[in-house]
Amino acid sequence: MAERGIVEAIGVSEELIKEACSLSMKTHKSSYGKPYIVDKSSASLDTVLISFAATWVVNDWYAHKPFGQTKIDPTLFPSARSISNDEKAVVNVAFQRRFKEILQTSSLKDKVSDAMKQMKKIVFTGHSAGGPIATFATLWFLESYIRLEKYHIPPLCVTFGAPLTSNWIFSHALGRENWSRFYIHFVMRYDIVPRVLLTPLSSIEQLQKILHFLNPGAKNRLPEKRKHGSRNSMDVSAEAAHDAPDFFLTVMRSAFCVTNYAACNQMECANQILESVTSFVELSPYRAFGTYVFCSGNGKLVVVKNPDAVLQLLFYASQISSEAELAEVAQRSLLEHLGYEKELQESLQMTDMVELNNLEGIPLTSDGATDDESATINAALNDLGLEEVLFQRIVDIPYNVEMQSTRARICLRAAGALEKRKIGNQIKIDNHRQNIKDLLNRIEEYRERCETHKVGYYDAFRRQKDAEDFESNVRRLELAGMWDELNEMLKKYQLPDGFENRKEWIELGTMYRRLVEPLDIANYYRHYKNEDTGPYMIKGRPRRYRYTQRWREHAEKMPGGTISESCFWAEVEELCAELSSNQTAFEKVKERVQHVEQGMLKWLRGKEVGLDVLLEDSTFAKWWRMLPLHFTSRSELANYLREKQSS
Amino acid sequence: MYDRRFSSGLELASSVVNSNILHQLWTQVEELYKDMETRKNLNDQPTLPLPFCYKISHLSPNCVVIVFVTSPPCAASHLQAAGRELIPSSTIKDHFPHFDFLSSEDFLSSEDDQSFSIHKDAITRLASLPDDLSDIAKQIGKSTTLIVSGHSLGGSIASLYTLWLLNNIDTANVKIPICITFGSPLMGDNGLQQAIFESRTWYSCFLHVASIYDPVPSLFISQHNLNINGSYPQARIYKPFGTYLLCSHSGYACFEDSNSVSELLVSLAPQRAECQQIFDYRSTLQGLKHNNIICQETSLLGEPTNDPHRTGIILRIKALGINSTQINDNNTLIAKILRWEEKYMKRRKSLSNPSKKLNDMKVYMALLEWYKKYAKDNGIGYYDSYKMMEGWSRRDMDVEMYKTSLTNYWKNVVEWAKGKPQKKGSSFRICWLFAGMNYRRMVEPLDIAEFYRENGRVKDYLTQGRSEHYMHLEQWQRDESKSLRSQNNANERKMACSLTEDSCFWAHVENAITICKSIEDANVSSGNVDAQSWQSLVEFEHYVMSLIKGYSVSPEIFLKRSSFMKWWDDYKAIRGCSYISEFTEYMNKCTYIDLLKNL
Repeated sequence: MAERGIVEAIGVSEELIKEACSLSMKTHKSSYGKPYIVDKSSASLDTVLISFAATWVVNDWYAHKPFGQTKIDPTLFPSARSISNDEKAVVNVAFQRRFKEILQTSSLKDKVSDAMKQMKKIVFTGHSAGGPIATFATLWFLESYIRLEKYHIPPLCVTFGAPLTSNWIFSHALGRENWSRFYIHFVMRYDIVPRVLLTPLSSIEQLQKILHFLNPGAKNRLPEKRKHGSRNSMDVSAEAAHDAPDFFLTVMRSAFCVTNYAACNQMECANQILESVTSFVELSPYRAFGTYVFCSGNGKLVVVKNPDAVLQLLFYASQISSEAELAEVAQRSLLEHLGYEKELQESLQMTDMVELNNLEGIPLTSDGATDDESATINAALNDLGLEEVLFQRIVDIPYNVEMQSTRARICLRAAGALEKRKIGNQIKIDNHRQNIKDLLNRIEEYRERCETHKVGYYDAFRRQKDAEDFESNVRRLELAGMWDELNEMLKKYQLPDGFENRKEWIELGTMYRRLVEPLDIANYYRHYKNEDTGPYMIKGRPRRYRYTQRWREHAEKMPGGTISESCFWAEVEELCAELSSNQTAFEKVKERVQHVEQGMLKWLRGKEVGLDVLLEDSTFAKWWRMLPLHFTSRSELANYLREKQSS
Repeated sequence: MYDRRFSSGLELASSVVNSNILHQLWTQVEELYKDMETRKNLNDQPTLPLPFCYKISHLSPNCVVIVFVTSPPCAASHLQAAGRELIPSSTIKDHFPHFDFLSSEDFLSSEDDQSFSIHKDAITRLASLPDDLSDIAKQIGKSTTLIVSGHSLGGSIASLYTLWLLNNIDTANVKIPICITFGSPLMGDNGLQQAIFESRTWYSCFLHVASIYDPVPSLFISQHNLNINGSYPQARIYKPFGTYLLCSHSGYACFEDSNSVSELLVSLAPQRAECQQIFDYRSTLQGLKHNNIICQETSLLGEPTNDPHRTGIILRIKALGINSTQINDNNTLIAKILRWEEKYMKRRKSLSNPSKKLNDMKVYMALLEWYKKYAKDNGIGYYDSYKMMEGWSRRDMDVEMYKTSLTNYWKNVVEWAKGKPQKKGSSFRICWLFAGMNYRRMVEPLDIAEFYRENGRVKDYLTQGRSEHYMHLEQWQRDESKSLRSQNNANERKMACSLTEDSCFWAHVENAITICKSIEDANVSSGNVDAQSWQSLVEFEHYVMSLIKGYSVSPEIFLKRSSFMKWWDDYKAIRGCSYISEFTEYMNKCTYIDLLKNL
């Protein structure tokens, strides 16, 4: 954490940022109704900039009360979810809708294809409400081209004063895919717009007027479009100035509620009172993601990558320090939204960036800054208003400033502590890996020994006759203990975002699932748990197998949720039970039988399932013999078996 | 492992204040006072003082609020006059049937001296519950939040009523209610505080809003509370429980640790108003909402600190407006609160769910199953194998270890579960009760074996040897299966089970052997056999027969070398051939051979 050059800190050159910024501002004025404009970068011949225009109608920001949120469209953005828990990200529906419209009705796809043909890097950018569109466009590009390996030059998304429009799952998913680094958001210290969507629509009735004021193109509008009244631009700003303090306080109050609630959770507050009382407030679901660059307004740039810390800063950095400041700061909160170009021109030349990455090292008081590094951080935080200020009275934000800034620093630390706890958990889990591998090897040996005795290990285990069957049961339970611990952490999101995308764990999980799940199924049916609890797949399948299957399905881009190579035994057992209870039922279950047959063919060919399944005495073979001859004789699997035997 | 702590007392307090709920609740309290006043004026004559008044209202479609006040309103002087007498839990049962759960073993903390006391004035007023208050739980669903609130002594009544609710609602179907009081006096002693603190959910159901200018909340605190070591004299003293939201003109903060709350209530005492007035929370709440904060001087936090927890405490104390002339005192105050809160967090952590280790226990169970199978293959059964401790000594030693680990684990779980009433039907309860049942059936026979190996036949296991945790597990499982049976009637057993259902089966066998021996001895010496002994043996026959018919005994008991079969040989001999019963028929015909084959 220290001062660094811009390229090292965020991986983008200052020329590109400046270009993106001026193009974004230009788009509002000169796109003439077009949703975006395309520009070749002058800084680098290899880059194409696509900049999206904002819209300034409330309905394009909030489709409905309270926050206009919806689950993200999984067909367009399949990765924007958590894998194990399979929770979809929540996004602002108005912006998602607008992006989909642009994608379907404009020539955006062609423009992108052209750029790809010329092997260009595509930079999606946007100011204000154009930012969320650029975000969706970038994600769409990542999903459709980069993830599917159709193109290898990663895109970039640069936004300026963009409102928050997605929840924490979105951030989690981007972190997992390692895509967060492609998003850079610039935010002026007092700019109100990034905070607006933290407020429920019902409490900001002035929003339309504010948006009208913020619209850089408003003055250029054609007269017939200005139907409502006959205001000229001077009126608008006077009116906005009148509304500004109230608007500012409302947004800040909501932001305070959200940051408070988030901080409580990061500090591991387990008090039920918290959940009970916050159910009376409409808390915005929206959170930050990607890299944030805060512009202090006096030429300093502070880079923050921890999304929880960004949220805290969004509130604390624009706090006012006295009642007298209110009118001025409220004005500033609107004007700064239009000041990115000017600010960045100056600050990008002036100084290096300060990175806040060691959040836990943040000094709590100015006396706590003992070395150069802390001093730099201290200076940067002071520039963002988290400083010692002589305090006077403040209105409506219920704390005095001195305490507030110390409090803000504690909250930043708590955000850092949470990140560190997750890393600590990952280290703990990683320590199990060798142990898991050893145990899996023992079970693999068991499987092989069974095979030499001409018994499938599934059936040997189901019978539990010999000492080694018992031993394997103990190994199964030991493994379950370790995996359950891991799954508990995943369920509560206590591991770093990237965990579910780690190759070594996906492979280990698949190996574990293929080898051990048959034992769990054997155990389940050995104890007739299906009779009192229900079929394994519906009632009995442990999370450790459902989760690990999802990891692989996501990694291999497979469709999710069907009977897999590790749990066909459960279906075979169920079919056995049904067929033996009523011989005539075959036609009824024919489709399910075919499903298993087709799957088995695929798994045997792919060596995902061992040949021991087919041994003479195995449950599978017995089941196969139960099926009517007219089916089995003509089945593909039978052909395959005959080929196997003859070769 | 990274372990730096934060205190979220400021953030929690801000969340409460910003939710606006306090304001709405206080409005309800005021309206209720007004209603009482109007009613009094209507009657135009001095009405009798009521024990309490209450009002049920909907704040929103999904939120029901019940507020309690006393009539006439209770100021500090009233409370002082009425007395601070505490009544012990042992007598609650006799006088207040609604609250007999408070003196039940399930509620009491296991560590302490098993009792606690409650403010007499409060519990006397709530001695009988009106119907609409006792029926409320039936009317609200899973999606409705129930908030119980009250002011002053009404707050104590609200707390008591919440305790009653917590004990009487089925948390599977009803959301856990919360209780928010304003300026409520302390209601119970350290025993009550301890019992609530140790509960998994109850401890965070209570929020007490107390202004530092209101004399009522600290009224019952005595100097004993200031004992720094936290070791209390024998005498019963009042102690706060739940979360406190303390507020002053300059700010507000939450504290959860009861020692810290006591300490702060006392050290803020000089700021207090006169005792005769009723303290009005409206203006306090307005102040919190509109925040005309009177600012302190700028001198920062006394001394530089870089520890977030300590700094958090300083911020909270400052929020209450303790000024810097007290700063030296404050440093010891801060140190005390820091120590208490750390202890509090540690304790809470240790009280969290022990089910995490359940998987390790499953491994031990599997290992015991293995032992059982070996014993069976040797034709003896694991009960007798363990009792004799012969042969494979290494294996027996391992069994010793598994058994000890399992027993320690389950004793802990039982202790933990006793502290907090486990509601029927919760998935956690079902999950561990099932595991607990398997444990009991598998391990208790080993305990019985050990008991008779060590003590011979001098003592009786059932009356002198059985560990309490088995009894609890058995009782809870019985309660649970009663409520489950109605749902799952179809599960008639058709096969013999591998573990005998009655975990005390072998104790009964040993008993029967003892009786047989005494009959033999009597035959030898005098020939005079006590009829009672024969009767006991017939009862034992019936017992075994019912187990066999219900398929609830493991066929292992019929193994050649088992104690049961030895008893049968003895019994057959002393009974002679002429005696015939259903049981002897069954045994003589060797019907059990089929069962053994399937074993």
